[in-house]
Order: sequence, then structure tokens, then C-alpha cells
Amino acid sequence: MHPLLERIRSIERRHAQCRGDAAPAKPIGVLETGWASVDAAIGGGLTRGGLHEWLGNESAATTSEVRQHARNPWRPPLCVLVHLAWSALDADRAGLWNVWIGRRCFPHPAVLLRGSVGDRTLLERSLFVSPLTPTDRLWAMDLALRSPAVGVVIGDGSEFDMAATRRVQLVAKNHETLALLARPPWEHGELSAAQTRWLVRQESVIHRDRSDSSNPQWRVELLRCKGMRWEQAQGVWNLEWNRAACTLRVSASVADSAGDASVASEPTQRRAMLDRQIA
Amino acid sequence: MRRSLRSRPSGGRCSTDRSHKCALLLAASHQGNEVVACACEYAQSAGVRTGMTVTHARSLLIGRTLFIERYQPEEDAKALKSLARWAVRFTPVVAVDEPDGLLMDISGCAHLYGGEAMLADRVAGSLEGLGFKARIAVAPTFVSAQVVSRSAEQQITIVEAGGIHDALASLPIAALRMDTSMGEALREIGIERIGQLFDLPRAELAARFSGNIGRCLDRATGDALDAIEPVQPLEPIEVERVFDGPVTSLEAILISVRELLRLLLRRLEKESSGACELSLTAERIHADPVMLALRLSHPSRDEAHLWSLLQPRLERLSLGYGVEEIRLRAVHTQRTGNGQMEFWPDPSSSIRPEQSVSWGQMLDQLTERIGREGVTVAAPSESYVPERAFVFQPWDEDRASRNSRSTEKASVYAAARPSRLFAPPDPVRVVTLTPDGPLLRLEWGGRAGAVRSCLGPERLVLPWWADSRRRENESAAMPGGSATRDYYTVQDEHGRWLWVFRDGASGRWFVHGEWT
Repeated sequence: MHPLLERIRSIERRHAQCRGDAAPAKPIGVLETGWASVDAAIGGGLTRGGLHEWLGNESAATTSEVRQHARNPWRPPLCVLVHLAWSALDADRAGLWNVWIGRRCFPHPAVLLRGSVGDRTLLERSLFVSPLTPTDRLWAMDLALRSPAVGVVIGDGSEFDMAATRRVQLVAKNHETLALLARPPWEHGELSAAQTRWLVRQESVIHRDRSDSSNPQWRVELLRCKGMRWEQAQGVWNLEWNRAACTLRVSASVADSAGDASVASEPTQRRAMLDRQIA
Repeated sequence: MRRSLRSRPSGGRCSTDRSHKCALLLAASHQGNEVVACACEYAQSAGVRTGMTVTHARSLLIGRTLFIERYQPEEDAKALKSLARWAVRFTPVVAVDEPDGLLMDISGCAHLYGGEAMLADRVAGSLEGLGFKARIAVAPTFVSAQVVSRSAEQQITIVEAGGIHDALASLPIAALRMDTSMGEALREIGIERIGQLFDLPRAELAARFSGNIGRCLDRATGDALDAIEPVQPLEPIEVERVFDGPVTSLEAILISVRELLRLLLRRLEKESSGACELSLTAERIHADPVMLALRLSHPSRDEAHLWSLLQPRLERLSLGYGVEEIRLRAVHTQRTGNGQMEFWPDPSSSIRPEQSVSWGQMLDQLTERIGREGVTVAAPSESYVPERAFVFQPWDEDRASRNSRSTEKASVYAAARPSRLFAPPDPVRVVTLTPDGPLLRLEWGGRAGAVRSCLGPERLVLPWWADSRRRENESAAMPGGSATRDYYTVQDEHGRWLWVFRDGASGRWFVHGEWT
């Protein structure tokens, strides 16, 4: 399966080079997400020695008062994180470990199995650490990133400030390890040293014709990518979860709605909405 | 069998816990069939016998919780050897009598315990404390003790110096553990008991069969020299420091322990070993001693790493009126290779060696700060019930279970499951087409909306073969924990993908998970 995928990708790259609209070679030190359009938008993939933040969905409890007492004030984008953990595992032939830090971002282990045969590689190479405080979470992330046996560190980054994210970013860069942080959406306004920031949202289904898929879908939006200009570093993609195979792919329905005015103006609308929430 | 019971996470409660009994079988392959190599008492009470097929045993144990593990004779031999080392506390000469016995030379030791009977009682009680049931025989010779202990019905038998002939005479010849062919040959001429062998002329016996049987009888009666090969007791690797008087200064304690650690690691280096478990004992004046135990994920003799684990614990140590003595001991050690140190580090590498931590060091530090229960791995368990399909267990338990059952993996029920499971399930208000039918509208998490798609139902029934009391307890503890659940995968108009079920008994609806 992987050789075939590689072959198809090399043909696509060659084809793109002929048209002159693609990078000539695969950048080094980059993890391909498996979503070609997303990779193209961020220069080939997620930087390996770097921190990448994924802002999750907000629960129904939106006000700060209710948020404190709600059982699940926000939902980390677990399916996206599982997909990226698989991508990293597929790219690393050495069989490095994935460390999940913070109970909130532990996925149900069933989604760590892939395909109908139930490939258990990710499940067997996953360590789950559950610190109680943000300080302990930061310490555990720092420690895990320093271990050469660890390929990806996925953590709950809620209540992390600028200094914390800078510390994680520096350690990830020095040890060339991928760090993924799940953060609540209301921390969008917090300063962060992350290489890329993403917002993952569930889309309200008003019209019947837009819920034709029997698989869960999310709208993933690129908020920031270091080293790129603001107008370049933006994009919105629909990702669809394959419940049987436990993988994410770019939904085909996005291609149809590419020219849709509502989608084109989505980042502006979303920013306005987040600003209102913060205010 | 006892080794397997003790190695289980429940600590060997399989047969003894009356509230929830379960049976344990050890299976081995024999001529293409899976046969029972060993069965626990609970299984034996149901009629399971050694040598019967596993399928037959399953049919006898139907309706009871059953665990089947692989029979590992080599692991039994290792456990027996370590038990022999443990028994050195009673007498310095202890040997292994395979497959399931120990030989102890108690000459000159019995009086320390108040006589042979008292010593035998003490040994039996100590073994029972470890989870083993033992039959003990005290006899003038090793062979007679072997024969009597394997044939006697009572737990402790004492054979006096002049009573060997009487004790052995009534026992069957099979107790001498001779070749099968020789046993059959003796039975053909009508010899069933050892006493009949004593009556036969020794020269004729040797001429007709072989000299072995005569030698065996002589060793049993004490007419021939008998020797055993005792196990070598392991010398504990321990260092200690005795102070001139009670020390109350924490700084002095820290300096002393650091020096002791250095000495201990030097000894470990000479033996090419690393410490898997360390224990530190501080003897305090007018107070009980304090003991610290440090378990490591991998054998280590890295001073900086061990000190980083020990120091925070020492700083929390209660010194009382002062510490008089400190002992540091490597409780468990394991052989490690001798790696060559780098004198000139690679200049091209941006990572300095002191900045990176190995996998083992990372696990140790995480366990030390967060606790053993906070550093886990997920393992599938043999269940299709969603909340029981996987267990999060401490990494060291998982490693032990992987080592013991490296070839066997629990099967996983292949069905789509949400990325997040709620424990316990969250009640939800729904509007349905029929009482148990597809959902039209739901209200959960402060949001109400129409259902856009509803897939299902997937009916799950809790295992009917499980113990009914356990099922009732789970039903009471968990909302929606009744015997039948109908699961639906639901998308509402807010875009949420929820895993909703209807409780068969109460008819109430719950959200059990969500795709996030």
C-alpha cells in the first residue's frame, strides 16, 4: 500500500512540476499530513522540530461561568490528532513512541486501531500520561520531547501561556520532535510560539443536502503559519473521518464549494465570531 | 499453577475469592491437541483433570469465568529456583527437586526453631503466606523424604531415624520415580509396594533388573551416600554508613547517601549489572526505621539519573530525633552491557548528551512525579462491551503481561467506535418516531436540535455467561448498565456526531461517546 501511495505522489509531484506550480522536491524535516492540499498550503507539511496548535471545538457551554462548571467545556480534535499520529508513525520506520499527555486528549483506544484488520501499531506504541496540573503537563511534555525514543508528543495545552509554548517549541526544535497541542478555542487570543495554529470546528448542518455523508466531518482552518505572510497562510478544508478505517481524508464536497462565497469569506467571519466570544 | 496465580494482577485471588470465583487452566500442546497441563482447585472441583482436552474442560466449566494460560515449564523451573533461594532463610543447604519440590538439609538447624515439627510448621506456614500449598516430610535421608512427601496424605509427616523401612514399606513403587519400563516389569511379577522390594535378595534384584534400583533403595535407607546440589544464595548488594551519633542535618544525610550510591554503583559496575529496584533504610533513634523503595523501568547505574529520583524523596524524609545508620541496597539487579563512553562528542550534533533522556529515564521520572497510575498504556481486553474493551494499565504491568503472554493477543471487537467515550454515559432527552425507534430530535449539552442522520441500531447485550451478581453490581454502578443496549450513531443539526443508546430495561437514552 505504501509503495503504491509513494508512487502516486511522485507522479503527482512530477505533474505539478511540469505545470510549474509545485515545490521541486520534498522538504526535509517535514511531516506530510496525508492531505495534499493542506501540505501544499503550508510548504510541504508540518515542521518536525516544531509545535503545532489545534484549537478544538467548544461545547454548548459558551459563557465563562458555565464553562467553569461544565463537564466537557471543550472538545479536543482527537480524530485529527490520531490521524497525524498515524502519519508520523508511517513516516518513522524506527517505531518511535507517541506520548499522549493530559487525560482530556486521550482518545478512545478503539480509534487507534486502523483498517479492517485492526493494525495495532499505534496502540502498542502509545504511552498515556495523565498529569493533574498545567505545570505538570508542561514538565511532562518537556521531558518527553527530550527522549530520542519519542516521535510525537501530543498534549493538552489548555492554560498554557506564551512562555510555556515557547519552551515547548524550543525543546521540540532542539530535539527535532513533533509536538502537537490541543487547546480550547477561547485561547485563540493567547500569544503563542507555535509554528502553525489551526481551528477545528463542527459545521452546523442547516440544509439537508450538506449532510449527505454518513461519516463525521470537520472544518479545519489554518489560522497562522510561521514564515508565511498572513494572506498566504490561510485556508479552509473539510475533513471526513472514515469510521471503519479510522483515518481522515479531505472531503470531496469541498471541491464543489470552493467557489462558494460563504466558504471564501469564512476566515473573516470566524475571526469576527471569535473576537465577539473573547470580548 | 501457583506461580501463574500469583503473577495475575488479582494476586492469585482466582480460586480463593468467594464473591467472584474464576477458574485458571494451564494449557499445553500434545499431539496436535490443546490439553490441560494443570488446573486450579476450583476447576478440579468441577471435574477438570490433567490431560483432558481444553474443549472438554471448557464444557465442564461452562457458566464460570475461565482463564486459560500457556503452560511454561521453563518459567516454573525458574520460579522453583528462586523459591529455593528464598528457603535459604531456614537452612543454608537447599536444593531444587524438579519438577515441583525442594530438598532442605536441616541438620543442626531444627533446634533453632524448637524441633523438627516446629520447623516443618514454620516452613509450611511461610509457604502458605506466599500462596503455595506444600506437603512436607522430615526424614533421615533425602530419598525417603522425597518418597514420603509425594505419597503421604497429611501435610506434615515426620519419619524417625529407625522407621524408614516401616514408612516406605506400604508406599507404591511408583513413588521411587523409576523408569516406566522398569515399573511395568516389576508390576508384571507382582511387585506393587516398596516393602516387597526390601524382601527380595539384593543380588537377584540387580541381576534381573539393573543396579539402579538397588542403589535407589540403599540411598533411601541410608546405606549409600546421598548428596544434593544446593543452590547458591545470592549475596545482596548493599552498602551502609553508621554515624557516630544521631544526625539531624539533612545536608549530611544527602552527602552520605550520594557517597553510598556511588559505592553501590561501583559494585554494580564490577558485576556488569544495573539496579532494577533500590531500597534505602534509615535507622532512626527512638523511632521506627524509614524505608524508601525505588522501582526502575530499566536496569540502570546512571548516578545522575538515580540521584535525581532519590534526592526529592530524601528531602521529604522525616529524620525524627536523628538518623544513626543508613543502608542502601540493590534489591533487584539485572545484567547490562558495558557501553563505551564518548570522550569527544560529535560536534555536528546540536543536542548535548546531558540534555537528552533515555526512554527508561523518562518513564522513571514520570512515574516518580505523577505516580504509577498516571503513566499507562492501553491494552485490549477480551470484551465487546465498549467501556470494558480496553484497559489503561501501568506500563510495568503491561510489560510483565507482554512477557508472560508474548504470543497471545486479546482480540478486538471490530466495530466503529467514537473517538471519545463518556464514563459514565450522559443522559440525553430525545424525541423518537417509535419508543425504540430512530431519533428525530435530541437535547444534550445545553443544545437542542433536529437529528439530521441516524444510523443503527447496533444492539449490544452484556455477557449472559458472566456472573449474575457482578452484572447486577455493574448495572447499579453505571447508568444504562442493563443487559441490553441499542446504539445509534447520530448527527444533529449543530454538526455533532454522537453515539447514543437506549437502555433496554429502563427505556432511557444516554450519550455514550462523541466523535471529536
